[in-house]
Amino acid sequence: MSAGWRHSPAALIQKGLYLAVVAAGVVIFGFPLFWMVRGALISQALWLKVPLVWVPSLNDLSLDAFRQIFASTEFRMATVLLNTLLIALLTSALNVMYNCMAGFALAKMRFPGKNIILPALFITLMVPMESMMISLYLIITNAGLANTLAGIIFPMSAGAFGIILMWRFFATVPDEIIEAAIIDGADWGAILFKIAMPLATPAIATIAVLSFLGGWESFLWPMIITDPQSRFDVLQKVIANATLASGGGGTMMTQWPYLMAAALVSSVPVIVLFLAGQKYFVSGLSTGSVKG
Amino acid sequence: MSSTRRAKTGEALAALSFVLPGVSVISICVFIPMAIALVLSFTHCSQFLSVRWAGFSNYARLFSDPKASGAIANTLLYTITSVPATLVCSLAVALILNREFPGIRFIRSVYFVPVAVSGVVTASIFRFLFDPTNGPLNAVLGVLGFEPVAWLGDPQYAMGAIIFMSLWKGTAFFAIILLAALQHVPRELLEAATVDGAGPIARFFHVTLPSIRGTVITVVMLSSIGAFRVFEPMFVLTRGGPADSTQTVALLAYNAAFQDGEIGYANAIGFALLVVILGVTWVLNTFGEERQ
Repeated sequence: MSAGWRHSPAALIQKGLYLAVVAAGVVIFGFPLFWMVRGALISQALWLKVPLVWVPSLNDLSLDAFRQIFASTEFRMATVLLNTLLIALLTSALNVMYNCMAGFALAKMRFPGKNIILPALFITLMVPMESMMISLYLIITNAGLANTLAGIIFPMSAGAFGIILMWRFFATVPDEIIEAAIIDGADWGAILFKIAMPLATPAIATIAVLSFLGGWESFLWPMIITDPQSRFDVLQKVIANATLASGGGGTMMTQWPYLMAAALVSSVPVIVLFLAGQKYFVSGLSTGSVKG
Repeated sequence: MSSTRRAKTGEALAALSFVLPGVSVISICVFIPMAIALVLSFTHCSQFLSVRWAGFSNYARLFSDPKASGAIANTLLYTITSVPATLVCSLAVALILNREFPGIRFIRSVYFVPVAVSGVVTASIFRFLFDPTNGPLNAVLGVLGFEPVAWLGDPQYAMGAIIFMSLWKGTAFFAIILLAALQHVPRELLEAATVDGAGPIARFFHVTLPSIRGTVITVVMLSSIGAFRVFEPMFVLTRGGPADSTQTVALLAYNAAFQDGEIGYANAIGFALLVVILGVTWVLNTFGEERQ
C-alpha cells in the first residue's frame, strides 16, 4: 500500500464513508446504553419533562436512585445483589468442576457407557430448556427444593456445552503425559486436578466466564422455582417486575430512575467481565458454533 | 495380568465417579423431564398426582384453539422476520468490523456490548425508548412530522417493536461469531480474486460467503432455535398483549402451566415445540453437511 494510494481523493472519500458507517453503528449500538445511564442519574421529574431533555446538565445528575434502591424494601438491592452474586459464583465453580471431570473422563479414560454419553450430550445441546421447564419444575418441587438455593442452582450446575468443550480440549492433551503420571503412581484425581486441569486454563476460563454470565443473568428458572416474594430473589426477576410495574400504579417500582439504576447495577459487572474476558467469551462462542 | 485388570477396573470406577455429577444433572434436568413431558402431554393433569388420560386431545387443542393458532402464527411471524434480519445485520456488522486499524478493538467492544446486557435489562431499556410520551424514538419521529405511536400498546406495532429490540442484541451476538469466521477466510484467495478483476461484491459472493458458509448455517440454526422459543421480551414487556398480538408458543405454555394450572396441555405445547426445534435443527444440519 503506497502513500500515494492512501491520499488519493477517491480513497479519502471511501475512508470517510467507512468511518461514517462505523460511527453510525456506534451510535445505534451505544444509544440504549446511554439511555440507561442517563435514566439512572436523573430525577423522575426531569425524565417526565416535555419536550424531552436529551442530555441532562451536570447539575441535574445525582446518585440518589442508587441510594434509594439499596434502601427500598421493594428493590432490596443489597439482598438481591448478594443472591445473584452467590448464584453466579456457585454456578461458575460447579460448572468448571463437573464439566472438567466429565470431559476428562470422556477424553482420556476407558469405562463402560462412554459411547452412549457423548451422543446424548449432543442431543441435549438442541433441547430448548423452555419446553422442559414445567416437568423440571415438578421434579424439583417434589424433591422439596422449591424456594431453596439448591433448587435454583442444581439445573445450572453442569451443561452439555461445557462438557463437550472440555472433552475436545482434553483430547488434545498428549497421552504420554498421562501414562507417565500413571507410572509415577499418581491416582486419577491427581492426574485430573494437578496435571490435566492446569494445562486447560483457557478452556476453563471460557467455561468460568460463560457460566458466571449464565448464573448472573438467569431469570426464567429462578422466577419459576421461587415464590413471588422470595428471600432468594435475583436481579433479573426484580428488574422484570419493575419493568412490568413501570406503566402505572403508585409504588416505588414506578420510579423510572430506580429501575434504570437497578439495570445498571446488573449490567456494569457483566460489561466489565465481558470486556476483560472478551478473548475467552469469543473463543467459547466460536467453539460452540463449530460442529463436532 | 491381574494387576492390569485391577488397574482397568480402577480406571473405570474413577471415570464413572468423574462423569456422575455432570451426567446426573443432565439426566435429571433434560432427559427425565423430556419423558415426563411426553407422558403428561397425553393427560389432563392439574396437579402432579391427579392425572387423567386425555389421548391426543391436548395436541388437537393446539390446532383448534384460536388462542393457540394465534400464538403459532405470531411465533412464525417473529421467526421469519427476525432470523433473516439478524443474519443480514450481523453479517454487515462483521464485514464492517473486519478491518485492522488503530482503535478497532475499542470500536468492536462498543458494537459487542449489547451481548453483555441481559435480555431482561434490554427489555427494561427499550420499554423507555419506546415510551409514547417520553421516549426518544417518538421524539425523533415527531421532529420528522409523524404522530406519536404507542409502540408496545398498539397491536399493530407491538410485535414489530419487539423484533427491532431483539435485533439490537441478536446482531451483536451473531456478529461476534461471524467476525471470528471472517478472520479465517484465506487472504490469498481474496487477493487472487482481486488480481482476477473481481470487485468487492463479486469477492463477497464468490470467495467470502462460500468460505464462511458453515458458520452462516450455524447462525441461522441458532437464531431460528432462539426465535421459535422466544419468551423473555414478550413476558417482560407485553405479557403477550395487546390483544394477544405478541402471544408466542413458549408464553402460551408458561401461561397454561403457571396461570391456568393445565399441566397436561402445557406439556403438549412444550413437547410440540421441542419436536419442531429438533426438526429444524436436523434439516439445517443435513443441509449444511450436503453442501460441504
